[in-house]
Amino acid sequence: MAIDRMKRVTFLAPVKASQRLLKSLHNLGVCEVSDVLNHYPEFKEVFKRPEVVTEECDTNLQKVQTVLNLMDVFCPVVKGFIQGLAPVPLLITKEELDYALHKFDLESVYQEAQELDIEYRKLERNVSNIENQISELLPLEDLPFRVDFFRKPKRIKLLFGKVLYANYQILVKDEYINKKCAVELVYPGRYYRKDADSAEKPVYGPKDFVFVMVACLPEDFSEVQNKLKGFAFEEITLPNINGTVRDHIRELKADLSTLRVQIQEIASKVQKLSVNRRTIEVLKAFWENRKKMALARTFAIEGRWVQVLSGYVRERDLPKLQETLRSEMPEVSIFVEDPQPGEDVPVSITLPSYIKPVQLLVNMYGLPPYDFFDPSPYLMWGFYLFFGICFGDVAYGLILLFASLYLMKRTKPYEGVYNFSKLLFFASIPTIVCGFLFGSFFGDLYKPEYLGENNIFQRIMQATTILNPVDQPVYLLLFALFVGVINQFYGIGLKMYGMVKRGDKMGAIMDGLLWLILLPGFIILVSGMFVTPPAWLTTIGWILFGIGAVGLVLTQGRDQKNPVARFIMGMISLYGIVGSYGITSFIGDTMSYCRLLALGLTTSIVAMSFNMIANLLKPIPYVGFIIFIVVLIIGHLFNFLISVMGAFVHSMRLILVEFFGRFYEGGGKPFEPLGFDSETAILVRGENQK
Amino acid sequence: MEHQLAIEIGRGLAIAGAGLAVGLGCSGSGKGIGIASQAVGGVLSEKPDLFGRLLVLMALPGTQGFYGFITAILIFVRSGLIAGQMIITPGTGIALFVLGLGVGLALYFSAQWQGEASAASISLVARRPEAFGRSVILPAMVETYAVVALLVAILAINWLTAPNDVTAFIRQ
Repeated sequence: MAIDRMKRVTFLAPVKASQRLLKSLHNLGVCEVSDVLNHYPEFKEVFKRPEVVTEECDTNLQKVQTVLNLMDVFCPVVKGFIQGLAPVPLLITKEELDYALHKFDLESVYQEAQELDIEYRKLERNVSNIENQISELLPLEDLPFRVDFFRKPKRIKLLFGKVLYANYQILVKDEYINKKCAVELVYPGRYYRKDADSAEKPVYGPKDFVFVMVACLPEDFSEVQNKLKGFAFEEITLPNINGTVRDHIRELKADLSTLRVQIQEIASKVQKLSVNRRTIEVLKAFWENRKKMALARTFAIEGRWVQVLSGYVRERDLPKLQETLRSEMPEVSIFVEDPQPGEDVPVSITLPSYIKPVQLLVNMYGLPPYDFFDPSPYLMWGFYLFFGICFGDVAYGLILLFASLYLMKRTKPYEGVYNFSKLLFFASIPTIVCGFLFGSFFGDLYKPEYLGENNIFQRIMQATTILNPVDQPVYLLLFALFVGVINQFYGIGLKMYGMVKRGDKMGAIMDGLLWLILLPGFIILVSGMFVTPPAWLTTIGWILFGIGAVGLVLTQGRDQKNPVARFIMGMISLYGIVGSYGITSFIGDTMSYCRLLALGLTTSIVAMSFNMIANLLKPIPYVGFIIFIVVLIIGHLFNFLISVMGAFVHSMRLILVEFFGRFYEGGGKPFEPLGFDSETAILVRGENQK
Repeated sequence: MEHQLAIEIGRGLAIAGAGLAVGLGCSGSGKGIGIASQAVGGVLSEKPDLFGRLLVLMALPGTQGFYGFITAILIFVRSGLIAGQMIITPGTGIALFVLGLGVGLALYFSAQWQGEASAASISLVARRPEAFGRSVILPAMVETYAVVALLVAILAINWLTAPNDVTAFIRQ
């Protein structure tokens, strides 16, 4: 069976041996630790939770993380495209782990990294400080005077600011201002030379801002300030620096480049440190794991002498667990029980390697509950068929075949990516078959206008083609609908199977079988709208529809107590808002399979269009043939990528929405045995060690 | 001469329809991808290693442009623009024109909303990268209606330009 039988195990160990017990379980890697109090709530009064300290793990993790963060700043790991698609776990060998734990000096690396980190932060702070200063000074860069001179005069007060040129013109004519102060326009430095021609000075428009210097007596200062506000004069506080702003900016920029050189030095030091990156990642995995192990103890309970720990183990791993514990820890006693119905048992699924790839889809939706069945073997044919129809093209199929074989070879150790590649590999076979049946080889590249009269591809394709969907889409549409109907019935059948498996035989008849009677009748009656079926078939249609309808009206409202409400609910359920299914839902679901035709046509029509475009360019003298080839390669590569994505996503959708909607719920909790292997790291064991 | 003119009008309308389908489809895809890529840009600044996965989500609203392209190419081929001498009556021409407009609108809006859905999926993946598989389904739900529009376009173009074939099929 696909879902592994599980056993619940409870360990009784002396408190002193509890650490050792966890270590043994961790080494075995076959047991998921679960909360004891879930199974024995009555122990709550008597026992207490053990105290769990993760300080060592946390400090080490913090050190490791500091080093890794620093490395990420200066020498981030460049990931390949595939790794970007799915993160691959770190494969760790026993020797590497030993080296990392016993020979590698994390402390000194950490110390160095921390010093570099502090230094780096300091430099960064300075850099941003200086950058801020520069950005504040830049608008004043052209000021023609030394800023310290501005503060020198003691007998008069100086005001510096900006004002609209239009306002400036009114301001200089103002009576009060003229009486009390001197106002002067401050031109940018390069125009402010004694020998410069006055014509060189910039010409301002009324909406331009101009810098203005105002001088007045100290006693008039606040009054002048107020008066100036009336002209929308914005006072600018000049920075507290010596010399001109321009010189100061130059100095700051020089400082900045010195800082940058220092940061570069740090970068090269980090570069040297990063040779240890892998070892540090190994340590990270180790300590994360150690922490997981320590936290597993929080699920245990203990008294003064005895600790109780419970968990789940696959039935087939049980002898190994018992044997190992008996020899290593004879003081621990183990109780084995069957899980109770309704218990939230973690789900582990074992599948033969040819079904395994489609488990990806089940994982996406959510694992089945423990008392349900694994849908992987049942959805397999559907997925591959859908993919084949959507992507059907001999050449694309072959490309996919070799590409996925290459990927499989490259990704062998990484289970997730490997299975995905394998899924593509299997999917390439129906793609090739559909390509032959629907006469598609790079679209219609085999036609005489591209490859010459009576070429080998043309002969092969003509011999195998049974239907050309581009010319006769109706037949493929009917086929797609047929596939949809069959798939929906299959889904209802699986629903019945699941209900029987859970012991609900009446439910299987009422929510499953009755629909399987009604819907074929419905299809026969509907087909009468398009073709004229023989009279006996119509009669059968009416009989099936009638039996199914009566049965459903009587049973679908069975949750209602009031007989009238029950009848009404039954009627509505035929339509399909309430109840287990409905005629409208069935029509909608079946119609959804039309996408098989649409996507199949998309693949071949886009391919044909590129062929056609390439062919139009062929007659260009000299370079025509090269352009023909280039357009073909780019066009087909593009179509390959976009079509493979469409075929995958839509096949997946048909499975997850239309097919799973009939019978599958998901919601199982994956089995995660306590052990080293996780999503981010896997300990590669030698053959003899396993 | 008048007959010639009628055919010209029919063809012109048909090709204008093709233009609408591809124009609206491509604008929609551009907009959809634009919406999605803004979301991707934000996520990548924090998590650059998600690029591969986000690229797939970002590309999903791009298919509508191709559906428009297919509609247009089919109209070109069937109206005799590229090869052959197909006769398009003004009636068929109007039908193809409106078909192109309808399909174009469906493609335009579905691509735009698919872009929004993709953006939602992208923020989901940003927080929970392991939910990538499920997140692909969300935009695919929107795309269904673009597929339906394309399907009707393909069938209608085929039937409109080869009327005998249809009647033969339906009234066997």
